[in-house]
Amino acid sequence: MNRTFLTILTKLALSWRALRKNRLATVGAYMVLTLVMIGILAPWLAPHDPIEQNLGKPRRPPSLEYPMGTDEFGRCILSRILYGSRISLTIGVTSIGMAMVVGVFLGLVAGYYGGLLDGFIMRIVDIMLAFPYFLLAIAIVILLGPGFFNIIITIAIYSVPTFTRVVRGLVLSQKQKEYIEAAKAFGENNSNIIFRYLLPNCIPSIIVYGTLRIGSAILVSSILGFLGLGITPPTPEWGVMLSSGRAYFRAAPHIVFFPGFAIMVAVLGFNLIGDGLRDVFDPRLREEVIK
Amino acid sequence: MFKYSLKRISALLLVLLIVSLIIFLIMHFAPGDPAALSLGITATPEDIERVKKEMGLDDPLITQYIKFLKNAFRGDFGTSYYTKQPVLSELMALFPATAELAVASIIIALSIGIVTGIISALKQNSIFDHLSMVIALLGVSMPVFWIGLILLWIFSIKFGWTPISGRLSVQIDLRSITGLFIFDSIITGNLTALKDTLRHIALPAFTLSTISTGIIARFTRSSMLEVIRQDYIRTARAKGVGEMAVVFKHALKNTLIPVVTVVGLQFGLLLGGAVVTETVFSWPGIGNIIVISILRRDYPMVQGALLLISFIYVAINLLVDISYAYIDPRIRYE
Amino acid sequence: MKEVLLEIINLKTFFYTSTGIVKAVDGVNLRIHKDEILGLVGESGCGKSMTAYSIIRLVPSPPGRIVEGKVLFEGEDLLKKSEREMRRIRGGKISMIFQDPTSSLNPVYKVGEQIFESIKLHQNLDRKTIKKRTLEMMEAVRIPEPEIRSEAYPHQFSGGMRQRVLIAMAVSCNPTLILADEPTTALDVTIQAQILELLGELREKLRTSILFITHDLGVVAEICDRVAVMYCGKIVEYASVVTLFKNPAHPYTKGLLAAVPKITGSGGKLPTIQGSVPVSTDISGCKFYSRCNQAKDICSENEPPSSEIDREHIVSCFLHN
Repeated sequence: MNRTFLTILTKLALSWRALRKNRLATVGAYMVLTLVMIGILAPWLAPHDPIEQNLGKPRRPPSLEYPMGTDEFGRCILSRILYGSRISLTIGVTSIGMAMVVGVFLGLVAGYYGGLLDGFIMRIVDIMLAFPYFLLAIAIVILLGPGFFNIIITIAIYSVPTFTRVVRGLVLSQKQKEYIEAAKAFGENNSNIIFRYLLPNCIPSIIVYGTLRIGSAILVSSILGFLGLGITPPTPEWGVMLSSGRAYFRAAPHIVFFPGFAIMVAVLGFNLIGDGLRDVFDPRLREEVIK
Repeated sequence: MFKYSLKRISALLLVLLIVSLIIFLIMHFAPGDPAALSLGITATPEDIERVKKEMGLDDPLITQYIKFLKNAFRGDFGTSYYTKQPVLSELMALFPATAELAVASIIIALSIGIVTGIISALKQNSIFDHLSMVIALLGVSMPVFWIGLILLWIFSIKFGWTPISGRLSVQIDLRSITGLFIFDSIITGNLTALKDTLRHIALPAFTLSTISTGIIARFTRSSMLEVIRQDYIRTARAKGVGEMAVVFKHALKNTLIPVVTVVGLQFGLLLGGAVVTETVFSWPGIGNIIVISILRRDYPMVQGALLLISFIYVAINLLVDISYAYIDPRIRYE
Repeated sequence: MKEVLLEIINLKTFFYTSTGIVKAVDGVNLRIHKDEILGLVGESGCGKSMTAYSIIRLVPSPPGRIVEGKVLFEGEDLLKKSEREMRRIRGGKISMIFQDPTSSLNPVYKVGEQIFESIKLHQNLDRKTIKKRTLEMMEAVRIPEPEIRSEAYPHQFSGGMRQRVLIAMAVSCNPTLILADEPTTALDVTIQAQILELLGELREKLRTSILFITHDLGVVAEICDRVAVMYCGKIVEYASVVTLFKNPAHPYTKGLLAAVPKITGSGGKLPTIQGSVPVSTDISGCKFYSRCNQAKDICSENEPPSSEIDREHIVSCFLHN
């Protein structure tokens, strides 16, 4: 087990190095890093309390006191955006982390054992992927209802199929190779083969898709927020900020503009890293449709 | 190829069946009592019990599901809690709006995407190439509702060129035959209506297309890059074929074949994106109604709309699969 | 003495890559006569294909470039012609056949259409006549049932048949010169024999010259009139086939000949040429020096000059200076 851990670390380190050579990916990495820093340092960076309403000063345009202006309740938009990065990053990383664990496990099992188990798992995956785009997420949200934790679970469930499919494909292609045959001949038991030989080979793809899916997760959670199906106010989630600002759009476009810009920066950052990593690990993988 | 089509159709029908089961289950377990919701706030407990029996809500799950399927086959998707009208007719009234929007978006996405992809590939590593690929990436990263709102602000509010919402200005009189306003205004020769419709659809269609345009551009580019390096392109040049013909005759068809598969996927993105776009522009389509119905807890509507969208998505995928097999001679003549 | 059809003088084609300059063709001098099949032999990577591409100027032009030299065809220097004029020559007066018939045909167009295009590009005839000629061409290359087959797609043909299609395209406009880049390498031995026979026949009927590029000396013996041996971008020996096989002058040629398995002979270990093709082309002196078993000191310092040791037998080697 130690060896697997080391392999993972090494691959991560190598990818970091290779990533630095790719300019766009480096930009993406810095964007994400900035976001993470903002998230961590929000309490110190934010000029005002994000939830504190100031009904006397609604919808003020950007000024010295409120660098991004105030929203319809007089709350400081900048502060809300800074705290919002915590929300988005948490949602993104947690949901994808969960999806990764479940999805990769299912993929490994389906690919390795094949047969009925594989058929069953893949049928479920196909059905989930048969829903157009994020309508699956909407369907799950209907079931679970809105709220912070529910959103995380929704997006996690929604993201599982991608990982399962990718990992299963990789396992299938590696299963035939000689080193697996050799391991079996040596008497290695199945779980060892899966975790010590097959899994490390999947790590690069998992990292690539994981990064891209985090961007996607942030996007979907903001869409759900925008539609009113996601996080509940007064939590400063970017999508929600945008939707509530819509009514005052005409006179105060900044309420809408800044949160959207934040979403873009976050998603773009992860997409750039994911793309860059993909180029590094396998240029052939380019042009997979990921959103 | 006929066998191939049959196989695909039966596989997709199975998927559709299971999807309908899932939608049914989700609606069933969604929070809220359907009987109470359909009656409204004024219902008494006795009323609720009565309606429950009428709706068959006490029956075992299987029975309910089978009844649901049987009804669906007959075209009965239930009645909206909100409008008290049959769900199907409501959806059918809204469907053309979404269809028109989707088609317009795909046309825009394909036109801009394919052309950009081809030029980027031919002028690889030029400024155009780098710029367009970055813009393509931005398109995929920017939330659709944000793009929509920004465009709305620039073109509708700042410049006043396009209207803020809806499909048609109130004062325009258009005889609607198909429900596709562009089409209708052309056949009835109604030029003012046509101009008005186009002004209304411009922004939503462009917004919706941004997701796909980027993907199509990147995909076309990589496809073209691969094709142009193939040996048969070298043969064409050795035959004395000019560069224009090499690109547009020899390379193009080969480039576009894989793009067709991506287009099929785009429809999924479009249908999902339509939900958001229609909300932003108050476009009276199916996407819009899903969101509104969810918020209103009008579950029959939600169920019907989800089913309809899934059905369309599956059908489009089938069409794409079959047309792909038709276009690529290697598959057509097995 | 036959007339000279194509003369290449000091041709240099270099590739500018991120790892340095690759001198694919480094001062090649070559002559092809009318009604002659000239074999161009050498190992993979020695520049034989690039020489052919340079003649019709199809060198992939970001990394590659024709840096110097003259290619005189029917009296005119091809390297000085405009792209438009070259396009008229390609497929018309000079056509090319490629190594892998499978990848060299466009998979989405019918075979007949592709041959049709060759003819249409260079001859001003009406559709019906071109259609007729297409079928005639397919017959000439021995494709059975041309009418039916011309409506088929490349993937429905076997490898040998596809190569015949390519040959049909190449001869459709009565070229004076055919550049054949290892046309039989990707085929089975039996099919190989058929294709060689076909090429010989076509040459008889149309009196075209062929530049036959190959690494297989057996093929050379069978079909070529004269041979040029190439190594590291340079021609090291040039002679008639008979002379080359009987009196090889250059050590490399001798090594190649010795390495061909023979039915007669003593058996025992097959001789090979020690060492391998040098990676860097930036060595001074003779490029074969490191592998030559008859090398002298002067060989590593200076480039060997070409000398004519017999009638039309030219060698680049200090042994014969």
